[in-house]
Amino acid sequence: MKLKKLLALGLSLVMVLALAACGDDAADATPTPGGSNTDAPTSTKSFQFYGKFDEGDGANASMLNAAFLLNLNEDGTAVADRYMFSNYDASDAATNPTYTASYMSGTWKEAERDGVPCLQIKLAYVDEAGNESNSQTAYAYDVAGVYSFDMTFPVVPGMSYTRTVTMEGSEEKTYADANAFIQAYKAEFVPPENVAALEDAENGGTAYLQADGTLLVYAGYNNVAQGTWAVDGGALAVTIGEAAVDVTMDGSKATFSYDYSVAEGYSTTYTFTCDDVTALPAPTGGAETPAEGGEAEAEGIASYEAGGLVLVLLDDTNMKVKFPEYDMERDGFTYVLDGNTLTVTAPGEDVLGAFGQIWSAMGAETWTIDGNTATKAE
Amino acid sequence: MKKKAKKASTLWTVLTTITAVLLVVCIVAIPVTANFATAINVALNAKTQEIVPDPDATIYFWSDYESEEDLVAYEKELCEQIEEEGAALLVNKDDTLPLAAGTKFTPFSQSSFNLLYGGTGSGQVSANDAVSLKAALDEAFGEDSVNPEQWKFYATCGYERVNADTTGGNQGQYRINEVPWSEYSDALQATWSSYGDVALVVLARSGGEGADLPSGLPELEPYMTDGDYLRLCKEEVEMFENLEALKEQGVFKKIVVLLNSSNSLQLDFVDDYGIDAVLWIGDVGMTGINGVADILAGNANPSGRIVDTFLRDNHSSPAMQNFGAYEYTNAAEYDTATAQNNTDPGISKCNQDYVVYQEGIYVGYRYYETRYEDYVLGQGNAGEYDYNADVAFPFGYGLSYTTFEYSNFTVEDQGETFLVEVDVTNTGDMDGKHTVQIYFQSPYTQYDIDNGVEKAAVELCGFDKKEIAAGATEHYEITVDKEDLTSYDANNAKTYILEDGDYYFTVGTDAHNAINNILMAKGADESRMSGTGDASLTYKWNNPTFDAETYSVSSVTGKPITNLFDNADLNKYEGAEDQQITYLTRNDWVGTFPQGPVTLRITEEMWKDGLSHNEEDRAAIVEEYKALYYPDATMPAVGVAGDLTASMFAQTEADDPSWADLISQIPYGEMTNLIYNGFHLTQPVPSIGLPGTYDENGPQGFTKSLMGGSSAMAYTSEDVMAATFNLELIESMGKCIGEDFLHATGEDGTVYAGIYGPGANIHRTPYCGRNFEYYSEDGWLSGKVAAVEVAAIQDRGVYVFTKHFALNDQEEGRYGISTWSNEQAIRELYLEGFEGSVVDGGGMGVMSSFNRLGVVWSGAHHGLMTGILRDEWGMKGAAITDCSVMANYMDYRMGVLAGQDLWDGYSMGMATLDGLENDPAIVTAVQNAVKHIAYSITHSHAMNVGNATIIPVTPWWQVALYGATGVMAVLTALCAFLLVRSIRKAKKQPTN
Repeated sequence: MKLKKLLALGLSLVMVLALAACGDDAADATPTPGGSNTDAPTSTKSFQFYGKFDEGDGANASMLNAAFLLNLNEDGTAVADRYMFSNYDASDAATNPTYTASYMSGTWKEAERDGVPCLQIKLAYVDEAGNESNSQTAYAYDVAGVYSFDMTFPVVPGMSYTRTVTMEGSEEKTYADANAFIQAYKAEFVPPENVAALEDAENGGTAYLQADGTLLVYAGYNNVAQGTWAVDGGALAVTIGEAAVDVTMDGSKATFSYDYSVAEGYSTTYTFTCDDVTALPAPTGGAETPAEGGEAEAEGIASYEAGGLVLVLLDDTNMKVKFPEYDMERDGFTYVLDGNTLTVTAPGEDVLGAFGQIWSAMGAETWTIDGNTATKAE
Repeated sequence: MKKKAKKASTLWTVLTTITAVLLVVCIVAIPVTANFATAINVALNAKTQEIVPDPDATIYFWSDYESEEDLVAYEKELCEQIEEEGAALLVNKDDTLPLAAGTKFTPFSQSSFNLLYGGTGSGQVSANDAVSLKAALDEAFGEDSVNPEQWKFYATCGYERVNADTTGGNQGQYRINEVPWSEYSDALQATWSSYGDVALVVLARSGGEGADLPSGLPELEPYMTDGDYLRLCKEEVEMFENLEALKEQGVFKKIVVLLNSSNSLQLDFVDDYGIDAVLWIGDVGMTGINGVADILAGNANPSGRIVDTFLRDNHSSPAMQNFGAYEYTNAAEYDTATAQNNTDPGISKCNQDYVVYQEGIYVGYRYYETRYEDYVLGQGNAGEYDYNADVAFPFGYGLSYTTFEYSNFTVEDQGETFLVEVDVTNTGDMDGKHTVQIYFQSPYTQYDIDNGVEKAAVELCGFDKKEIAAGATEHYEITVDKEDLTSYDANNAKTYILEDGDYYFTVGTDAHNAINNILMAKGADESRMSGTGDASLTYKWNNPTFDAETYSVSSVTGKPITNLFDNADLNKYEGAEDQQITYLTRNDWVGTFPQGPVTLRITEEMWKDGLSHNEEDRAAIVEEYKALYYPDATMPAVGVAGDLTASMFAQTEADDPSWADLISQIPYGEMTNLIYNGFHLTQPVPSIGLPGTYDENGPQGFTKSLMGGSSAMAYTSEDVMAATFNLELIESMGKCIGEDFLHATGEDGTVYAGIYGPGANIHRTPYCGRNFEYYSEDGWLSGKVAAVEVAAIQDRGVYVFTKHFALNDQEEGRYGISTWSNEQAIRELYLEGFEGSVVDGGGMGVMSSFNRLGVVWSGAHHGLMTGILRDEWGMKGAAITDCSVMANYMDYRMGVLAGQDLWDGYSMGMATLDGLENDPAIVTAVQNAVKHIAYSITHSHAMNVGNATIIPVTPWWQVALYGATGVMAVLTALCAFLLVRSIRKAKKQPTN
């Protein structure tokens, strides 16, 4: 797991350096219509806000996912700490590389905006030289004792790559300190359910083979690709994305590779080995043979490739139409199959909605069936 | 004793090991970090140059404002004025507007509290201190004009519009999040009658970089009607239904709607729900809402004219049938999923998508008004076309609080131009500004049908705006260039043609009124017309001879004009194999109207011509470019000794031969450093004393907010600017934007000299995420406005990069998407805005786009970057790329050979010019690029430093690294010495 942690952090670093469209955060000299941001607020109150940004376990989870602890202190200072919980490090805040104290800071005050009492919170990323970037002024309003506002935070300080987290808080101090916050927001890495986990220990990658024939590729803790797997005639068959992957068989030992590319020229090749494919249980989800077109899961009683559409016969009369390009589909179609002639009746516009345009452009009432292909009848 | 000595030697062993390891780390880090130096410098804001100013420097550009406060105060007023003149009144039943002083408002929609001030992305403006709707209404109508309880409710209700993420966002993230009617408590409803003069409904739709607006995403159907962001959502429908009922009950007297969006909503509801008035306000910028309040109060008479066709059915246009990014059917076979993107990490869509502009020239009003004419005249297989079912408000439409009448319309042929004159009388009782719009129609002939030339029924070709006092008459004189009447014939003449036949000129209140005038002049059947026209407001000019000569050479450079985009047109591109496109033609509307997205596959030719990310294929392209564009290149002089400095060239024309001498002084490494590393800055070039500069985002102003700083004045969205039809206002704004750059420039050598803007793509559909950064659906109008704005910005010593050049009219799939179009549409629609910027505005630069033209990345498209920019338009300064960080498909070699100059990124991982210092073609191209960059900088206020001494400074982190290395070396040596000594000492100790 240490390797995964290192990898996750390493990936984050690569992102930081490589994607960094790190802006010029020289001290602002632009004429600002709103005037100075250096109020000197005072208050006898203090508030604590917290919020969590979570984009799931996707390719950038370790870099993006973060929880924030914002303390609005009595002296008028505002300090926001960031905890990047998707790196699964819940160690002490003082030495935790995924916890950044004072990630953003600024001032706050009680104010009235257009007649509505609120908290005015000014935050910015401040670098070691004192230059401000990603500055913002937010207003938090009281809803039954709970204040909330949207805080925009830089994924990489001083750059265009930002996300927004909803912060909620009150005068109550929910978290006594940073460690209490970490404990509240820490996450435990739970590998996806699998029948086999193929590890590339050297590069920190894992391919999880799931019972339903789904294959998940993880770089560290991040799910960077998805595909299918099956055992066909004693050989392992794999797709990743929509492409078939070359699998080398040596007896019952299967080896395949996946090139994870952050961008061209920045990639890691993972090599996964299954020592004995005969020991793998057969997938249960109908993905025994990965489909060429990425249709991993057989649906209904029959389906036909129809140009950019897929016609799926659900039972003897009902069917649905899929438009894989946009990952769209619609039920409500009916059909009559007479020999190799398929006659399709589309539902009304109220059912079709936006799909109606796709159907009118690419669909047809009558199709000719040939194997797994349907072509529009002349 | 021996034990103690042994302990000491163990200690020194450990310390020696540690310091040695650290030393190795430092030594390794020096070259490694050197590769990332620019990225680190920018990230850490590390100073890399020191400018010692020249005490005798000539000041070429100076501020017109005595203080920054004066500038800001004027800018606030100017933004208000732009909104006042840009907001367009669409509906005003029974003269609902203007409203009386003391009017009481109850605002409706969460957007009334959370106005849309601008879009998101690189053009994002800071709305921290923007004026709220309540503040604006209180100012215009008096204190307590806005229901305070309703206002508080919206502040705390928890419903808020959600934009797509700034970078890496997607369509699925947009949310309207309107408040359900059930959330309005009885107590709150009880307050409405006290503020019941007007129920003021704000409908806002945001757009932003990186994500087009959803136009039918199934997964968004729970949040918006048919997953379409630009339709009323069910909560809004419910709100209107209830407001209509409350109006009938007398709780509210009027319902007024503000359309707060640059992406035109589907306006299929404005005749319903008892809506009394509708005002389109676009994105209002920092203070624009004050201008809106002034219009509502009658302090300003609305005079804006919409610059897009506003539709009842947003999906009715031919462009919508192919809008989006479509994956080549065999993309998987070509490994296109290899990421070649930059700011969207992990996105695998780069070179696997395409879009086909199958509609050709029929975008916006060019489609609706042309098909309408053919329907009325019963030609072109127009079918039973129902104009009113599609169009809610035509291009150019806008009401006033007064009325105007036209008379004495005349047109005089003056050779290269026409002089159009008309008198306009203000027949109402309120002073007001009025925009005269001149349209023309060129003949659609058998030649056109035979050669695939398309003609719009009306095209805007002139305008002017004047204040007219109530009861007064103003005389307008507008000059129309005959050149604007030409068409591009890509198939036969392969140049611009002016056909023989009858041309019509007319003055219209909008595009539809214009075509109706022409139809009346043609004696059309009025029963088939929608609306009425006036034949007396037309003029027919006959061109007796077909002219394919006069406009076949550039009026700027004298170079011939011919096809440059055959490889972007599937019907001409040889590598397309059997994939042919049926473009929409007015000769057969029904038969050629696009029937959904075109299906395409990658061919071997397409792969090798530009889609491939294999070095072997790219190297082959480089060799091909060298043979084509630099066939006789000889090795130029590089890095020669000389005394020329950049400051000597501040007023030197671009064609002066002495530039070659200046550029020859620069060593190859300095040149590539300049070209490679241009992310929001330019690198200093010490060998000629060229200072590094900082460049920042537009286009709503100096919008640095995205890049980590606060923005200066944020003006309205570009469509509001264009809708003013007031070029004097645009000029004032352009100068102020330039002033903001001047004022941002510090005495420490931080020179803000370049702006990434304005945007000059067009509104091909209402759903483009960046429509707020583009002026209009009309390329010609875009060019006219861009020309004035660009000239004004540059007047303050700031060079422009008008963006995104070109055919980047959507965000979906923008990283490397193949954009297929025909040359007539490319030239007549999509390049017009840029042409205005460069040719009429003198714009020194453009920003090339992420997308491809055909399969060739725009920056490596020689026809675009050299054929158009330099040979036809005579552009003198630098073309920068869009953000090129990690975008290897923006290959430096291909780019410089094609005419690209500067990369908005860093060289890490893609420094393909390295090692080519002995390649004559590459070096010549590199010198050309450097000259273009140097021209922009030397003709900017960066030259106010004069013949400054540019002292390269080792950034602090490198100094720290060198220091750490030195310290570690010393410590390692010391520890090693002590280790050896302790071992010796231990050996000398007697053993007990």
